[in-house]
Amino acid sequence: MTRLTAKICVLGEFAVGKTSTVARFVHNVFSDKYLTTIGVKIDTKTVMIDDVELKLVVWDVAGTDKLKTVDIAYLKGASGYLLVCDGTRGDTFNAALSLFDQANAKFGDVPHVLLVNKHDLSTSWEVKSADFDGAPIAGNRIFKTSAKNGDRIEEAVHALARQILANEVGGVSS
Amino acid sequence: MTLPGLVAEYLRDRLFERRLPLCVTLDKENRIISIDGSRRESLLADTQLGAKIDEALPVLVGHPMTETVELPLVGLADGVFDIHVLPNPSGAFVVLLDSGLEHELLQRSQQTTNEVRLLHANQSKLIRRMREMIGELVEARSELDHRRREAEKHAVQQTRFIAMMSHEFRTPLASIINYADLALDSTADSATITRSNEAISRASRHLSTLVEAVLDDAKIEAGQVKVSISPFAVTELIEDLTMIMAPLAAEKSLGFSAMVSDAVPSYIETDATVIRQILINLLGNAIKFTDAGAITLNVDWRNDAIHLVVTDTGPGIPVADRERMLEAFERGQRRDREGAGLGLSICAKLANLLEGKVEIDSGYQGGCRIIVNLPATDAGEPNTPSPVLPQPSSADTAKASAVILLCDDDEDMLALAEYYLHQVGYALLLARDGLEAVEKALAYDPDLILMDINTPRLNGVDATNRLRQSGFTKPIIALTASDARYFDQAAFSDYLRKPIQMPRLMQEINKQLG
Repeated sequence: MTRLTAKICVLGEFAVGKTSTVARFVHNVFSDKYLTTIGVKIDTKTVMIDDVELKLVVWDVAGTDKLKTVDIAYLKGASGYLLVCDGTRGDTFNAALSLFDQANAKFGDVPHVLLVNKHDLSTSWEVKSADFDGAPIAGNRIFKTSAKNGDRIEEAVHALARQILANEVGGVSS
Repeated sequence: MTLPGLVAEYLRDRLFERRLPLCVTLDKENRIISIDGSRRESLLADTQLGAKIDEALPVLVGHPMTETVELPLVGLADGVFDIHVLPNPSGAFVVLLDSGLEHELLQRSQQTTNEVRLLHANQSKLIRRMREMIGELVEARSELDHRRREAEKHAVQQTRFIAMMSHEFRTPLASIINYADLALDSTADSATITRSNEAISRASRHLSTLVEAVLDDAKIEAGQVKVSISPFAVTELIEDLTMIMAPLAAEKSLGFSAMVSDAVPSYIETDATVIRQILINLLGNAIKFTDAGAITLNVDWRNDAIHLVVTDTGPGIPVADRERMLEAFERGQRRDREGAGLGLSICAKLANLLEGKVEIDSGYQGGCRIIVNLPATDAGEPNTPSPVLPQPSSADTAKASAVILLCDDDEDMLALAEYYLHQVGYALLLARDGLEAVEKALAYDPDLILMDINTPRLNGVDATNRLRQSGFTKPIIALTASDARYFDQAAFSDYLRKPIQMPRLMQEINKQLG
């Protein structure tokens, strides 16, 4: 069995559910209470992808719609990133796409997935499936997730992990 | 900047006290050579010297140790730290400074800021939703206004309808009742009885026309009139209409002419029945309202549409009435002629079914001119010759000595038909229901059967099917008060719509027996 370690970053506007998504994925817990992230929070989680044991070092970066110098420092050495937006707030979807463009311009084509979160509130969604068609992110890399009930979060992270393994970019260490 | 030694020492002590620095020294392979400073017991307690830095501190996975890096406010399991990487010729130093206090202060202020931003976002969303709801309310209000106007319009039409019913229906009904009483009076002489019967006949025909008009309008309104597009010969339709309308014009000593332009294709595709109904209404109106002069019908072809113009030399329609004359039960200012006020309205609705329109020529002064435009298709020459329309018989006499079986449960209809058919020389068998008709037909083998569709015990369609199955091959004509589309006509030779005009009945019988 191969053992690897990779750094991934979680990016998105404030209050879209980045920390809740990480908490659901890493600890399988959820809290309705909103607590702002300052700086970055580090967690680790090991996933099995086929016969590879991949230890993910998850950087939960404070919410932003624009990559500042400090954010770029946080992103350095990341093997991939999860973009998160809130389906009930259309502007956060655009912010996620903007972050994607900025990261792409700075680091090139790094493995990525987009999580459109709060699918448990889908009746109040401003983001529509049709919006995905015009997005620069491939449809199979966009997931409608819910940190509250856990819908498709593991699937999204595994999809990112598979991209990382397929990509074998620098930063993955054995 | 150079600081006095005492100050520098003081600051160093304060920094150490507050930030609890931890310094990890690495060799060139990023292995830990030494760990110095505070908090070693909590942060790197299990770490052995010689271990790789990214195994001891996974937060540094992927980070090159060859360049200076500052990572502020990094939340680890044991607290929040500023992490600094300082490369040196023999490896690198990794310095961790406790930033828990700074993190707490920033967290508190950012939490408030973000919550206010969220509130603003929710407020904007609520305002947006409120605006949408106001928009929806305005739209709903507008829709309600529209429906109220429609309801008011219907109420006006209903009022007009009731007013029309009161006057137009009561007048002939009163006439029928009074003249019938007069005819039944035992003291009445034969001349009085004849005059009474003539008056009853006139009033009945008028009533029949009114009922037909009201029913036609109701059928259109209920969407029961279906358009049936098929090719037909324009000149044959116009000749047929001329045969019907010219005698009516002649009765009032009015001229009548119909002209079909050379531009009109021989065969066109549209609904001939609808066109026929429109023209009968328009020409009938023209004849009714014209006392002297002539009625003309011009047929032309313009922009893939059949263009029909009916002109009369009557009093015309006052300008003020022209627009509303196209509405149901609207008779304008002229009340000196009987009518339901439905003719033009029905024409407009029928034209609408064919996506065409009816207009009153506002510029015409010499009477009234109605223009009808109906989209149609040039059908070219048909592959099979169209059936020749039957020529109407001028003599209502029996063509041959024949036996006719009449089946109807309406005693008046039986009596009337018996009177007329005997008058012209036919022998008659009567049946009051379908079963009796089947029995008599099979027993006496009549030359022709007149079969009402709605008869007791066995309806006309089933009785006819039973006769056909029993080998009866002679003509059977259906008599129906409803549309022929609503019953199975397969077993019948033809059908006639009630109320049946006796000359038309004679014509049909002669056709079938001839």
